[in-house]
Amino acid sequence: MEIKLEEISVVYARGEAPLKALNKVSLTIRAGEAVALFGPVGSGKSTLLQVMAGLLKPTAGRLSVCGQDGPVVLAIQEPQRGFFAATVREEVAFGPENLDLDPAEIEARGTGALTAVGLAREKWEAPPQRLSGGEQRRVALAAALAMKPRFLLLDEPTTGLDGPGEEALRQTLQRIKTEWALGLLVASHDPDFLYMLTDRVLVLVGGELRADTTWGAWAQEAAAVAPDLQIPFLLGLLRRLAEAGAPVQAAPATPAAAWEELFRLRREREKGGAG
Amino acid sequence: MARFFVLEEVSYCYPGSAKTGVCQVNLELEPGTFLAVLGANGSGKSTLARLCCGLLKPTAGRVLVEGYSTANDEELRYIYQRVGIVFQHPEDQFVASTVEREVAFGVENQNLSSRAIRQVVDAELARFGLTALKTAHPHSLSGGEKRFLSLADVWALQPKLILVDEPLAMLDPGARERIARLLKELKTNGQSMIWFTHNLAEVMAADQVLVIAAGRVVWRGQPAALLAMAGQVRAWGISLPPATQVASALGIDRSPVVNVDELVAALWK
Amino acid sequence: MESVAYYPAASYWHRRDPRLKLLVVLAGATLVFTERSLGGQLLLFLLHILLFYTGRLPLGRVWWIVKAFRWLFLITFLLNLGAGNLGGTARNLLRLLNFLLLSSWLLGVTENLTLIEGLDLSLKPLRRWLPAGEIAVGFGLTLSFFPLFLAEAREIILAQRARGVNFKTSWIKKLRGLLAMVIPLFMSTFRRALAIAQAMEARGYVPGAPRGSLYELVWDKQDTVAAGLVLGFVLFWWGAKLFW
Repeated sequence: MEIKLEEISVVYARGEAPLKALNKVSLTIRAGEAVALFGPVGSGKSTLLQVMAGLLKPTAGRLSVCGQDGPVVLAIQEPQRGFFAATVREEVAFGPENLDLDPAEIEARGTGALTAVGLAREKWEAPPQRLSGGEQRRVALAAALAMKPRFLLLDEPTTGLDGPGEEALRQTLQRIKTEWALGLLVASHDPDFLYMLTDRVLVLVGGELRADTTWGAWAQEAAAVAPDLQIPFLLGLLRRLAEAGAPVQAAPATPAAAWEELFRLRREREKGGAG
Repeated sequence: MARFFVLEEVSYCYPGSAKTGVCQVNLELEPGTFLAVLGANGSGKSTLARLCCGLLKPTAGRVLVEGYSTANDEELRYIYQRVGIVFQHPEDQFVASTVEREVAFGVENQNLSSRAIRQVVDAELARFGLTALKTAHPHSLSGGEKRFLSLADVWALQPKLILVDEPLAMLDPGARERIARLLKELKTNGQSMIWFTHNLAEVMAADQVLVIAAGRVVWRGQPAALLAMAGQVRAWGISLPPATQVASALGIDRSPVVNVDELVAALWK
Repeated sequence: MESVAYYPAASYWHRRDPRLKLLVVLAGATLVFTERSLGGQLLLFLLHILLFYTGRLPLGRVWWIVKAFRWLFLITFLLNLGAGNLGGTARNLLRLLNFLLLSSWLLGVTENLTLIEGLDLSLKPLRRWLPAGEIAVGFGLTLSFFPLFLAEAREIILAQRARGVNFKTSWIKKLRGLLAMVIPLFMSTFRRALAIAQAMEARGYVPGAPRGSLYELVWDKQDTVAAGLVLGFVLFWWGAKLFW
């Protein structure tokens, strides 16, 4: 299954000066991929996600979803804003109910999704409003997963989370990514969160797709394409080390390889220092 | 002369809720101090911020600003004149439908002449780079501009103590730098500030740090001292600067590492 | 949101005193309310367009109003259709549109805080019986809330549509879908109202206390002339009705 965008443009009529939110964006993502949608605040990321989820009709261009074997589900920024049910369980069941499934299936999906996001069982009957910010984020994720999406689109999922909350979310997403075999598209302005989670990066600046590449390659070309954008801290560090003459590879393919480079450098230095 | 700003055994319990409040906090602030209150989400930071400016009244203990107590309704207006608060979400404080009227709102409450109000408003608009936007609708601004406007609202009142709650959330690096510069300026004017955040990197310039966990003060000291105790800081739910995190993961523990330069130097001279 | 927001411009109406503009709206609303013929309503509609034009408001705003309040129009249409009179239905739809145009015009050419001040001053004579200051601020805040409320509504509707809400299913599901939108919206509005009240308090606002103003209201000669013209026009309209 894949989602294909061809020359998608979105223009918001706003008073006398219409706002071009997206300008001729073309791309394809496939189920099983983990993709980052990276760009500054207000660069059109939310609009692009809404178009992909079929919630917003583009002004121009074509959206095609081939091989429909599951829904495309979007979790908006701060998804707890949509909570309305009396218990967490009912909140999570809302999506599957809208898909007209039978009660046993709805129940099973709710259990599966809540287990997958690792929310403690004693919280399942609690009102979602009473949970902490981190727990609410898990409930929202479970509500999306219960719809068995083929593509899961997340809009700025770290907004309002603190360090531990962000780390827990990253681990949960990492697990879901491998176990649920879905396509994951995460929009964020934070390159470090995205880097640890995704392999491919789409860079959106001012409604235009500036790059569609790997993180390693993006770190190399970022300065030329969008100098105002940060690159992941680890890649920036390796770059700086390489410039200082250290024997490291400046653009490793994965975060694991990046860490390996750093540990290797450290081991060699220690050895050199001792000898 | 009454002490500038004091919290005496301040506690706050949310009525009929299991939500953590604040428990027996003691604090004294000298004029011109930059204090950072660090804590995870739900640690009681925002509750403490509202207690400090009188929007919440302590269920036990006292908050005193130059001798005025927040518990006393008649004294509250003196406290509002001295303490200003910038909320976490800028939209939560906008009342006007143009940027200039928004900045003017607090000054108008002081019942000044329109010429005096105009002077203050124009100065603040210029300081925060909002002059060109003065007739725009506050809700039509970008995230960074909204944040600047929410700061200008409070700066216009020239409070002796400014409280800011997570002011850098959802901002781009450029806007973050500008805010950091503005805050330095504040210090040279002799004003005091309390900055509430979960991110240590934002407040490395603070004179003093107070760490709060589950509503209680668990640590006090200099920000740099926290760098050397990475494990404990993480357990409190506080984010370390990325360079410090990487250094700690690589086992570099000789000297505290705050920025990339220091990390590069530690790895490769 | 665009249909009711303040629209900064330098028009004749933007410069007028808010009390005069309140008078225009009061006069306009009275005429719209009392006018019983379709032709009369049509004439008033043209006058409102003239108000928009002289206030330098984009005429697209008229269309946004129709779009934003389409449900209200639909309900009015259905209710009137029951009564079975096509001319009357058209008149009532136009009457509704005329009311909306007047409010949109007032909000478009008057900044919020100015409007609050104007309202406060206009209600001053009634201060013995009414908490005028509080009414003015409450009214003004409701207005400044409106764009925010609409934006929030849009987001929540988006969130629930993403969770599969659609209104093509059974009545029970429709009702549930509606609840899923109304409850979160109610909660967020409540939270926001509380936050704004706190923010105003912290910035030294005391209900009813004397306040300064960035733009002190000055009722000038032009305002008096305009007020005379407005009142004269109302009398002329009624007089014309009597004699025709």
